[in-house]
Amino acid sequence: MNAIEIRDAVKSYPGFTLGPINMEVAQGEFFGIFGPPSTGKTSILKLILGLLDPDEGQVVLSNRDAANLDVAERDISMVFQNLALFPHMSGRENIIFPLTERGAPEREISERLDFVSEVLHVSHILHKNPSQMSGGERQRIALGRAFAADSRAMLLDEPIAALDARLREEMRVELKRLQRENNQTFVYVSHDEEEVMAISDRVAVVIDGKIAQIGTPDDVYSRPNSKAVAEVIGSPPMNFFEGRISDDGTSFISAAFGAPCPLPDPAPVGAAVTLGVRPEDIWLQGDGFGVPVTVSSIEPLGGYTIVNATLGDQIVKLRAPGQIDLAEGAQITARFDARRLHLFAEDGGRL
Amino acid sequence: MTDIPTPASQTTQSEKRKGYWATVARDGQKMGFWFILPTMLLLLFIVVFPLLMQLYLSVTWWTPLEGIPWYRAWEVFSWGENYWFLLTDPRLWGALWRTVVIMGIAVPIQFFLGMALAYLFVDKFPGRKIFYSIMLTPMMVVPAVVGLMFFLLFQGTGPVNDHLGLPADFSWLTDVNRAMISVIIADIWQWTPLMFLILLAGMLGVPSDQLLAARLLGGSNWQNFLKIVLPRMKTVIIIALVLRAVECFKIFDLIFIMTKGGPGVQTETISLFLYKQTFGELEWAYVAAIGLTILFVLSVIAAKGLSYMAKKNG
Repeated sequence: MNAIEIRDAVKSYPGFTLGPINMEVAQGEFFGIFGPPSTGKTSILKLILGLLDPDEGQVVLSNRDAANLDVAERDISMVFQNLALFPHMSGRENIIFPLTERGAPEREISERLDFVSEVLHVSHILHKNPSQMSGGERQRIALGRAFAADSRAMLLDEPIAALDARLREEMRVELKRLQRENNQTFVYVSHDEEEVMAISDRVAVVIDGKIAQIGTPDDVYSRPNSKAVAEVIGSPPMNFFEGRISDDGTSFISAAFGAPCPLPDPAPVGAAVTLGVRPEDIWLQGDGFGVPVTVSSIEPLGGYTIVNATLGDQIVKLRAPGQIDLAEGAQITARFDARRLHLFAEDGGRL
Repeated sequence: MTDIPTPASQTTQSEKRKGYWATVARDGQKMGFWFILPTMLLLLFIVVFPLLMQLYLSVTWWTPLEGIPWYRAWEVFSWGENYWFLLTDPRLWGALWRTVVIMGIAVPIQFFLGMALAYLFVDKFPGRKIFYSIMLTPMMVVPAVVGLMFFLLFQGTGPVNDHLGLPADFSWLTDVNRAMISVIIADIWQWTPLMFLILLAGMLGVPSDQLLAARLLGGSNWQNFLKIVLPRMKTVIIIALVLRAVECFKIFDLIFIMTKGGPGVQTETISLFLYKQTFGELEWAYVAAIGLTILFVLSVIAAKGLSYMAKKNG
C-alpha cells in the first residue's frame, strides 16, 4: 500500500508553476526529494501536509483522498529545518506534546516516551530545555517529537542542514537506522545531493517545479534521463561535450576531440547531441578513446584526486582514485570509459 | 653621530606618548567631573530641592493663602498631622478605591479585547492594513478630546440614548453607577488599541513554524494558543498589563472632561482628588504629604518587584 500518492497535482503561483507532480511513496519507504534551491521541494511537502491545496490533481494518503482532510487530520508529522522545538518546554514535554494534545492516557504516554527516548538515546537530556542542549541533542528531541506522534509518515525538511559536517554524517546513519527499525515511512527533502542519495531508497529529482526523474539513487546517478538531471546529480558535476553523431551512427564527433569517439550503441545518424561523461569515468591511463588535455590544477582530496584540465577552452574534470602527482600544464590523455557514456538529445532527453 | 632615529629612541618616544595619554586619562577623570557638574547641579535643583521642599511643607499647615512665604512655613508647624489626616480621610480612600475599581475593570477588558483582536489580525486577510489603521486611531486621539466625545455621546439627548431608545432623562454621567460605567467605556475605547498593538507584536513574534509544528502534531487551535502562544508571549503580556495598569492609575483627562469627578465625588480618582485639593482647596501642605506617601509606597512596591524579578532570573 502506498502511504502517500500524489496524482497529477498542479499548483500555480504567479510566475511559477509546480507540477504536474506524480509520485508514490510506499509504506516503510525512505523516499528522498532532491532539487536545487527554490525549485518547489517545500511546496511538494506542503501539498502532502495539506498546507497547500492543489489546483488540479489529488493527494492520496493510504488510499484515501486527502482533499477534505485538515492538516491536523492527515496524521503526518514533520521535522523542520530549524526544528521548531518549543523553547519553553523541556525535552520530555516536547516529545510527549503530540500525545498530550491528543489526550492519550497516562500509560500510553509514558510507554511511548520510554520507547522514543530509548531508540533516540535521549533519556539523559529529557529534563533539559532546548536552549541547554547541543545541536545534535536538539535534533534528536525534534525527531523524538515527530516519532512520538507515531504517524502515517514523517516528512523531514532538510532536518540536518544546520549541523556541522561530522554530525550530519552521524545523523544520516542514525536516521536510516531509525527508519528501518520502525518501518516508518520517511520523506526526506534536501538540496544536498550526497545526503539524499546516501539515505534514500528512491529519489525524486525536482527541477523547476517538475519531477524530472524518480528512481533508486543508483538509477538516477548512472542513468539520468535528461541532461538537467545529469547536471544536478553528481559532484563534481558531469562533463558535457557538444557535437554530433557520425554518418554511420557509431561514433560521436566533436571539433574539440580531433578523432571521433566510438559509441557502444548505435545512435541516430547525424543528430546534434551532447555527450556526458562523469569525472570518475575519465581515466588517466588505459586503452579507451582518449583526448589530449592540459592539466590546469589538481585537488588532492585524500581518497581521490580531482584533476582540472582544459580541452580547448572547455574545462574537463577528472576524478582519479588515490593520490596523483601531475604538474600543472602537463599534457595528458583523458580516456573515456566507453560503457559509461551518456548521450543527450538537443531537447535534453536521454538517447 | 647623526640624528637618525634608532629603534631604541622610537621606543622611548612611544613610551613617552603612552605616558602622555595616561596623564590625559587621569586628568580626564578630574575634567569629567567638571563637565558633569552643571548637570548634577541642575538635577539637584529639579529633583532633590523640590523633594526636600515638599517634605518640609508636608509637616506644616501652610497654604498659599497663609500670608507668609513658603520658607517661613515652620511658623505653622503641624508635626505629622497631615499624615495622620490622610490615613483617615474618607475622600482620599474613596478616590483610591474608585481608581482601583476603574483599573480592575478596564484593564482586564482591554486585555481580553486586545488579545482577541490581535488573534484576528495575526492572519492575513483582505483589508487588513486598512482595518489595522482604523483600529489604532482611538489611541492617537488626545484623551481630553476623547473625554469630550464621550461627554457628548452620553448626554441625555445624545446619540447613545437615541440609539438605545432610552428617554432623555435616562442620564449616564449624572448617575452614580452609570457615570462610572461611562468613564470605563471611554477608557476601554481609547486604550484597547494600545493593548492590541503590543499583544499583536508579541503574537507575531511567535515563530510560525512552531505554530505549524503544533498544528501538525494534532493540537487544536485553542490548545495551541494556550500551550505555545501564551507562554511565548508571557513577557509581552506582563509589559502590556503593567503599562496599562500604571497609565490607568493616573487616569485624569477623561474623567475631568466627562464628569469632573461627579456626581458628587462618585467618579473622583486619585489624580482628580489631588488636582482638586491643589487648585480647588489649595491645601498644598496636605497634597505634599499625600504625594510623598504615594512616592514612598510605590518605591517599596517597585523595590520588592525588582528584587523578586532579580531572584527569579538569577
